[in-house]
Amino acid sequence: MSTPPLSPQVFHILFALSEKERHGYDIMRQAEIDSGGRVAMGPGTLYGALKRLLEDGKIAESGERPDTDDDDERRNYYRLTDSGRAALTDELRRLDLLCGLARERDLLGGAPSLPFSA
Amino acid sequence: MTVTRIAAPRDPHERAYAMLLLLYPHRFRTHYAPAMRQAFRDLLRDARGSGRSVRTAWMRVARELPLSLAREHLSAFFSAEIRLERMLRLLILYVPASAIVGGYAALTLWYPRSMHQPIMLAMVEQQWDDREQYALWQEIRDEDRGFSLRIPPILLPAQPTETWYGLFRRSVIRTTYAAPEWPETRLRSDKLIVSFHGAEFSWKNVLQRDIFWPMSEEGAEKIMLSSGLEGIHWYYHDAERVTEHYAFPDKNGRIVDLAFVTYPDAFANVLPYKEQILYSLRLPPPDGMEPF
Repeated sequence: MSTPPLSPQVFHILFALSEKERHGYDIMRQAEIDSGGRVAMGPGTLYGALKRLLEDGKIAESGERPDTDDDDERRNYYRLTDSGRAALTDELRRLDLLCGLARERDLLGGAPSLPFSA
Repeated sequence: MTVTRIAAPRDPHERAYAMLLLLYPHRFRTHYAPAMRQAFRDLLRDARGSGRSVRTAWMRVARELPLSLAREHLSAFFSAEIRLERMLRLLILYVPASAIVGGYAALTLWYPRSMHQPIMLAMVEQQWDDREQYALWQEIRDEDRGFSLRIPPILLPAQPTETWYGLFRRSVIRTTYAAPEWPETRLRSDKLIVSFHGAEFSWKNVLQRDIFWPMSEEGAEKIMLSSGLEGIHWYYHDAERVTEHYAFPDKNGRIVDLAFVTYPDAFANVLPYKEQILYSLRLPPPDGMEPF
């Protein structure tokens, strides 16, 4: 059975975590960058989505704390699980398929509209 | 899940946000409020660091708050593990909200016309000796009040009139007014206010409708409102007075009988009026009178 498409928030959370473990605010910031400012979550939306992703087993709390300058012991870090990575891959394939179709139909034009780079 | 306690914030913005977090369900708050406060603190720090106003952080919170709150409360309700907790949540939070919504819905169903639908107000017009008489007929909404009769005072001859209100099916006359004058009416916006013997009634969403009335062959007149409702109009009289009835079905299937009595002798020009009434009762018109 095919899984339903992910919401933009969930997609960008998983996408942000695919690179490395991150804490909540880092996820918010990265999602905003990856989406070109289109997905600007607040703390309520972010932690609501994180809660559901934790319950679904798509992400997990990270036991290790990255040794960075801005680390704070009050922050929780999250990482992608295998199930979360599979869901992200499914979604990316679905988007890829759509993009392929859109190119065939000449709908995308010349320039990419989604800046997926920081 | 790691639950971390944070000391009370000193920044007023953080303090305000911490207060807002109290709106979230207890379980969600217990687990995520510290991290959310931390995220909000980061938002504030970045806003200040980049020279932007803290308003940008608040705008982000304001945009997400209603939906986020609703989602978490629904989620908390349906995922409550302990039945007692669910019941308590139901009692404390959802029963009052449901009562408000349900009460409004019930009132809407119970008094649909009084609250929402425009009152169907028919204007019955008849030429009497170049005078116009208007009666406004209104569907029954409240059995205790019956329906209303209105004659615009500006257009009326001053005449002694008795007006009563009643339900035809039950043959009950609910109220009898011996009115030396017509009820005083005011139309304020779409609200009709009728002052009558010291009592004041008002109806909202009043609309005026014209009617036309083709003659039927049965003696009484069929009248039709512009809304498509059909009714019957008939007269009878004795030596002192003339009684007119306007009967309409209302939307509840009851027949509304609006009757009013006039005392033609009080008119200065009684004769044409009487003659018209006689003729409508299928008596031959007096000599010299043309059928109308």
